[in-house]
Formats: sequence, structure tokens, C-alpha cells
Amino acid sequence: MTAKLTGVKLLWEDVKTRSWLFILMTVGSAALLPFGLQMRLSTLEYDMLPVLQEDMEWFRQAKEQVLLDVLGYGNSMVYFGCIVAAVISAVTGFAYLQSRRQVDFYHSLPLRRERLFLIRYLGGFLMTAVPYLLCAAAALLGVGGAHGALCRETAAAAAGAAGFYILLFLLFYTLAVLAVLLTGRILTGLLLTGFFYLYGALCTWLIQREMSFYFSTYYYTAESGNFFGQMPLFLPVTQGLNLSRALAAGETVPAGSWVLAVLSLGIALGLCVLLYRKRPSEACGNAFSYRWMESVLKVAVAIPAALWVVSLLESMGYLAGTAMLLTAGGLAAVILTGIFEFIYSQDLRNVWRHKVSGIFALGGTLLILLAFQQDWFRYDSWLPEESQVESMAVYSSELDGIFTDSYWYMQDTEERILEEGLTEDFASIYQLARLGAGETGGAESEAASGSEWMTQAVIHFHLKNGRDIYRQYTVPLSRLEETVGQLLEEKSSREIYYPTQYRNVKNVTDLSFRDWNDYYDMNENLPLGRNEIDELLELFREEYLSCSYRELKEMEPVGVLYLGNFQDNRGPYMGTEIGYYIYPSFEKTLAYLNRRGIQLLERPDLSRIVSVQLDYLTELELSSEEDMTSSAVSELYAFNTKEDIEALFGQLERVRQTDYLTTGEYADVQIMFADGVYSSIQFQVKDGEAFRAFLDEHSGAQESYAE
Amino acid sequence: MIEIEGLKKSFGEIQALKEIHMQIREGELFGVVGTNGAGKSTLLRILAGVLRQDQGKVRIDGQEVYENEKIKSRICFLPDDFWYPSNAAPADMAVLYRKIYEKFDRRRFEELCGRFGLDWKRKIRTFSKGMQKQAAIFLGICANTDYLLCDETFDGLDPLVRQEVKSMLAVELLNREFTPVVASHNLRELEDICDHVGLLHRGGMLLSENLEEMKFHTQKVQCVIGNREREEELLRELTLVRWEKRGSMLLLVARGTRQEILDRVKSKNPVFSEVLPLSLEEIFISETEVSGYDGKAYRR
Repeated sequence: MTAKLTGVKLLWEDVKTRSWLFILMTVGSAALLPFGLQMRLSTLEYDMLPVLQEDMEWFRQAKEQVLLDVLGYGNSMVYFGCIVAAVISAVTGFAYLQSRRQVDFYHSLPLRRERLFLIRYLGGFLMTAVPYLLCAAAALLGVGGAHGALCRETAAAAAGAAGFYILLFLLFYTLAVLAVLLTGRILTGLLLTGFFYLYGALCTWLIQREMSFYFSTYYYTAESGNFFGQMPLFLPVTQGLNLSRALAAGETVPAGSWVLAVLSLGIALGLCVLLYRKRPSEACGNAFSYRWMESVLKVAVAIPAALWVVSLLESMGYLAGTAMLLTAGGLAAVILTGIFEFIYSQDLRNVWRHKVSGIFALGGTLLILLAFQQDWFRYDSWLPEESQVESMAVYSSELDGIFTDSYWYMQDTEERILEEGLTEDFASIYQLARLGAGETGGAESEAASGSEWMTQAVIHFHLKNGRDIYRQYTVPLSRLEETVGQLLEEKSSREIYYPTQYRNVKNVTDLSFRDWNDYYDMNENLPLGRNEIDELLELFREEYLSCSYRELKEMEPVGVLYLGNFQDNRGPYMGTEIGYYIYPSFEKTLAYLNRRGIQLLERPDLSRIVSVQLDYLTELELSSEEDMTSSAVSELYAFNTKEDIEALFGQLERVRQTDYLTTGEYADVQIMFADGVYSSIQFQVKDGEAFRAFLDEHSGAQESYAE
Repeated sequence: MIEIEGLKKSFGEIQALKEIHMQIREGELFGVVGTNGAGKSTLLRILAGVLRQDQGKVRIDGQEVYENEKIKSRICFLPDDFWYPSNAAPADMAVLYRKIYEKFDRRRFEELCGRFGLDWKRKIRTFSKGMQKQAAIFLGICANTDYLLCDETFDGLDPLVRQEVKSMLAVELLNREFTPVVASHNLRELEDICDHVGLLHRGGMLLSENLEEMKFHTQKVQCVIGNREREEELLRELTLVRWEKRGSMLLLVARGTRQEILDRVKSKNPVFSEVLPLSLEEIFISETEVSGYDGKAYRR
């Protein structure tokens, strides 16, 4: 009998011994896949068929979608089922290493350790993969076929997803096996498994948190926060989720991601084989198989945990100053290493026995804290040499104010402009970055720190070596606008910067208009058909594109066009709308609206207003530069006569939100109309001194309160 | 032949085996005796390839044991606490062993189980401890390997089974190339069956010798000299392992042949002298006392 034959027979024996695992995986897979699919399809048919009997094509598509939801990439239940199955298979397959009796039995067998390892490893894999694949096939062919949801596309997607989940399972399984090999008790094995799964993600989160807390120029992107690269070995859970979501969204996953996934699996498996060979049989019953692991893990866990404790205390405002920071960090490190030692040795007398590793943990924590707090690596003041830069882009949410006040939607604008807005003609952006990084010094910096309105701008440096660096600088708004204004002299740049040019905004089903001079502030619906909507939006986009940023900045809107129930690449937005300003130079758009019955008011119609309440900010002080608190006094005024109301609005000007915020002279106005409708509008005060004189003259303060 | 040279093994700070040198020839039943914690189980686990030695060589027929499939296929290891797969019955273990050991005799195993009342289809975990041990021994014997390593094999067996097992081992020794190694602290049991004995104490091998030769080279003598000077002379002249005086009666355990020691005693004109039978247990106790007193191991 050859050893190979023995191995195959022993594999079968292993499967027989752990047949309960096979049954468990079969039950779990059946519940998730064929039964789950059957339930969902039955529910769909029960709920929707009576309604959609006339649209069988839509119904068929809906069933196919349900099939993809269950058998495709985005099934989070299957994803987490992979993790659970991996841990169970690994622990049950290799738990014998934690029992001396079983070790004596297995390691006395005439089998090389690698072969024994592979027998157990394969056994665990087969007992999970086979039930899963059988159940997936039953769901696809049996349930899907019976309900008419099966077609070539769904079958291909389901097959691809099955392969993906098998790969994912193998990665989680191998890491769990590695954890069991490195430990001698089930509890420590499970803890180490959790460590392998989550450590990278937790450290990434912690580092991002520290950087955003200590570095004012830190700017998070998906890539900038990825300190462990794309390697699933270090970030199995998050990378797996990212891949799953990308595949579910139909995105193309780069081949490199698959290579890295397979490479991670190969490395983990290779480590398992190597460690199994070297693992001392006498390790069973010990917390760790190798003595050095205790120190390594202690340091690896204590440092991030201590940093997290410090960041928690900082966020609660309990720490101020370097001395307190270091004291808290040091104490946290010492206590955490003691806790770790206690868990390891279960003996209070030994909590600080291993002094070297304890000192490493303490020293590491303090050094990292100091490095962040003192910015040893000059993160905030870093600037590449201009000769190293290939292209740059700049974005600030402050710039959106000339287009819209619907800020929630502008999330994607940032990414779009920073990536697609890269320009090689970046001299002005580079100067802005220098200012933000504090390199210019002298009068310019003084001016910047004086009474100028400051704002945040994100700058993307695309270097000649291929690296992409992002920084968020605080710069004077005027300088930012000057830089962006210069950039947007080019019409081609406007196509990227102007949100109205979003190529993916489509299928708007509702349009409405609000007159700028109509303080009633209600939208007027535009009863337009599909083609008319598209025509109007085309004109609107064209006229936006023809105006430079400076021109838009200087103009005052005449109205707001609201796009409702639209759809972009993120999906449909039912019940939401985004409003874009319409400017006087948009003649074609205004003419189109006019033809559809929209008549603009030449001046505000105050005739229907019965009373006005004004909330005017009278004092604003900074308590101190350090703690940045402010105190303000707001006074409430009431105007109830027609003359007063007219006189009041003569002092005010309706402007875009970004305009009045930068000037600081603004008032919240609550307007009550004759029909009982209220509207609330912010106005800019035309002349602060004159306005205050007007207020003193025309009304008494109803109430003063501090904010 | 099993050859062990300079074997050392530690578990952390505990040195379980300290430079062991020994040989186990084919065809003889080797007994490893020792106190609790002497290193018997560790030695057997190293011989079985379960543990890896820190230093030294462990060879069977000239080849290292550890991770050697070919050599390990000739060894069957019966630890003191044998593990069975959950829900396994003797029938299942027969199937498993048949896959592991080419020469496993399923029929004989079934016959033995039947003879000793071990239900062929009943789960072994429902057996008593003694019955589980019986099953393990029967598996080991029926594996028909060249080497059988038994750790504390006779513990937990009833006298009938114990006797039967000893007989089976003796028959195996006669019928084929078979080298059992039995570790125990039950010296009386080993004395009946062992050809060769190794005495382990605190990780060191005190003695490794043929049992008969061991008894031949150590004698217990009881004598009355009646003269203090001659008594002291005798004590100086003999290579004593242990001695005590009860009244005028001297009880001596000394190294040497029976004739040598008797001649020595008679040269002191004793009133009375006789050689008493010396059991393995007495040899063991004496040797361990000596080791404890002077810290040196005596090897022949």
C-alpha cells in the first residue's frame, strides 16, 4: 500500500468521523440557498403576480433579480456564512492539536506531517464546499428553473459567485487553521482567528482616526486609508466585502485583485504547512504553540488598544497637552499588557513578568503618540517639489454654492473633480497648496490668518512616479476662488467641475421652478413631458457651460430649477430633488420657461406678507483662539405693518447661502403670509450700520438670547 | 534495533530527558521503569515519532524515526491514555487500523474482542477504562508491527487479562520478529516478562541492562560479623549500593557477583551470612537512592 493510497483512505475516514460537519453545512447551505430562493420567489409571485400579469417581461426580470440576489455576489448571508463555516471547519479539523491524547494518536501514525495536515485540511474544505455547491446547483437548476428565473446570464453569474465564495471560504478557512496551529487551546485559537480577520481593519481604522485627529491636512480616500495595501491576507473581511460589493454592482474587478487574493491564500497555506511541520507536539494545552508568540501578540495588541483608549479620552475632552497625553498612553499600555499577561498565564503574580515586551509596548505607544502629536514626519507641512508633480486638481465644497444649495448630493462631486479634474497647468493650484502648507510665510500668511474668510480645499497631487497624494488645506476663500476661477476659464474644465454636467444624471421625471423674488418659497411644478424635460435640461446645461465661474459668482440668481426623482449611477432617488440656480444670462432657459407659463417677478411681491420676524446676529466673539468657542447674541425683531415690512426688505438682499455666510452679516427671516403659510429665508444685510440704525428706529427687541 | 544516543528533551525549563544512551535489541522485551516524572512517557513518545528530541539521535535500524513514514509504519504506539475517534466501535477501529497498518489482523482482533467480552459493535467510549485499555492492547498486538511501544500498559487490567497479555507478548516474541517496549512503574509485572530493563530516574538512565545480568551483578547479603573493626573493613571493601544494620545483623546490597561478595564476607569470619534474593524493585529503589545521594548514574 502506498502512502498516497493511505492518505486517500484516511481522508475518507476523516470525512466519516466528521460527518456531522457535512450534515451541518448541508443544512446551512440548504437554508440559505434553495429554501431561501424558494421562499423569496414564492413571495414575489404571491405579491406581484396579480399586479403585473400584464407585464410578464418585468416579472421575469424581477425573478431573475431575486435569483441573483440569493445566488449572486451580494448575498451578505452567504458571505458571513463563509466566515462561520470557515471557523467551524478549522476548529473541528485541527482541534486535535490541542489534546495530548489525540496528538499521540495522530502523530504516531506513519504519515508525514504535511500529508496529515493536507488530509485534515482537505477534509474540512470538502465537507463545506460540496454541500454548498450541491445546494447552489439545486437552487439554480431546481428552484430557479421551476420558477422560470433561469437563463444563461443568471446561471453564469451564479457560477461565478459560487467560485468567488469558495475562494473566500478558503481564505478565511486557511487563516482560521493558521490560528489553531499557532495556539494550544480552543479559546486562544478563536481569539487569534478574530485577530487575523480583523486586526488589519481595526488598525487601519485607528490610524485613519489618529491622522484625521492630529493632522489638519489629512484627507481620507479609499486608497489613502489603505495602509495594508490591497492584500486580503491582512484585511480578509474588508477586502472580501469590497470585492463582493464591487462584483454585485457589476463593476470590473482588476485582475490584480484576484492575483492578490490567490497569493494571500497561497501564503497562508504555505505558512500553515510550514508551521504544522515545526509545531511541537507538546504545545497542546498551552495558550500558544510557540513561546515567542506571547510577546509578539502582546505588543501587537497592546499598542493599538492603548492608542484607541487615548483617542477615546481625547474625543471626550479629558486630555489636553502632551504631558497628559503621554501619561494616559503610558498607563493604558501598562495596564493592557498586564491584562494580556493575565489572560495568557491566569496568574496575577505574572502580569508584568515579561518586561522586555512590556517595555516595547510602552515605548511603542509613547513613540507613536508623540510622532502623531508632534508631527515628526511633517505630514501637515509636506509638499512635493513642483518638479515632481505631473498634474493637480483642487476641490472645495465652498465652490458648490454658486450651483446649488442641495449639499447632500454633492458627495460624488468631490471624487469626480479630484480624479477627472487633474490638470497639467497646475501652477496656481500649487501656489494655493504652498499657502495652505504654510510655506509662503510673510505678508501672505498674515493676511490669511487675519480677518479673511478661510475655507477648506482638497488638493490632489498626481506625482510623476505614479503616486497620488491628497491634502486638505485651510486657505483664504478669495485665493481659492481666484485659483478655481482661473482654471475654469477653460470650457473643457467646466465640463468636469460643473455638477450640472453630470453625465449620469438622467431620467428626471419631475421639474419645478422657484422664483427668486417670490418669498412664498414654494415650487411651481412644470408639467412637461419626457422630451420637453430633456430639451429644457439640455438648454440649461449649455447655458451653464457658457458661463465662467467668475461670471456665475458675480451674478444673482433669478430662480431655482428643481430636478426631482432623478437617477444617476448610484441608483434612483425617489422623492428627492436637487435645485440648481438659474441666472439672468440663461436667456434660452428663461425663454423656455416663459413659454411654459413661468413669469418671473421683477421685484419681490410683499403684498401678501402680513408679518415678519427677524433673527439678527448682533455680537460674535471668539473666546480664545485655542478653544475656538464663540459667543453670540441674537436679537429677535418683529415687523407687522406694511411700511415696516417694505422698509425692512429694502435693507435686505436675498443671496446664495455661501455668499451671506462669508460676509457674516445675515439675518434669518420668518415670513408669514395672509393665507397662514410661513416661509423661512436667509438674507444678507446690505449695509450693517444702516441696518442697525433702521432696527433701532423701527422696532424694539422682543427678545435677546445668547447662543 | 533501536539506538538512542545523547538524547535530550526539555519542556520549557523542565528537562525531561538528560543525555540518554541505550540500545534495544530486536527480539527482546525491553522494560522501561522509572518513578513518576522520570521521563518514561517522553522517551516512548520520542521513539514513536510523536515528539522531536532537542538533541541526540533516535534510530531504528539505522534510520531516524521522526517524520519517517517507512520506519513509523513498523511501530505501533499505545499511549497510557489511548484516544479513540468519537462513536468508534471495535469494528470501526479495525477498519481504521487496516488502512494504517498493512499487516493488521482483523480476524484475530475480532477473535480477541470476542474472547474478552468486548462488544464488536458497541461504541468504545461506553466501555470501562479497563476494557478500553484491552481494546488498545489488542489493536497494538494485531497490528503486527515490528515494534510495539506500550506506555503503562498493564495499569487498569484485571489479573486475568494481564496474564493473558503477557502470554500473548511472549508468543509474539517467539513467533516473529517482534520487539515490544513496555514502560511502567510496576516493576513486579515487568520482572516476569522483561528480558532487558532500563531504569530511568529524573530524566537520566541509571541502568540499562539485561535483567538476569542486573541481578547477577548486584547481590543482597545478610550477615553477622560480630567485630566492629572487621565490619567497617567489610563496608570499605565492598562496592555498596545500600547497607543497614539492625542490631548486630548487617544487611548489604552490593555490586559484584555472588561469589565475589560471599568471599569478601567470609574473609571477615562472620558468625552468619547468607545471600538473599533481590527483586527488581529492590534494585530499583537502591539505585535511585544512590542516584539521589550522589547524583551520578551508573551504567553498564
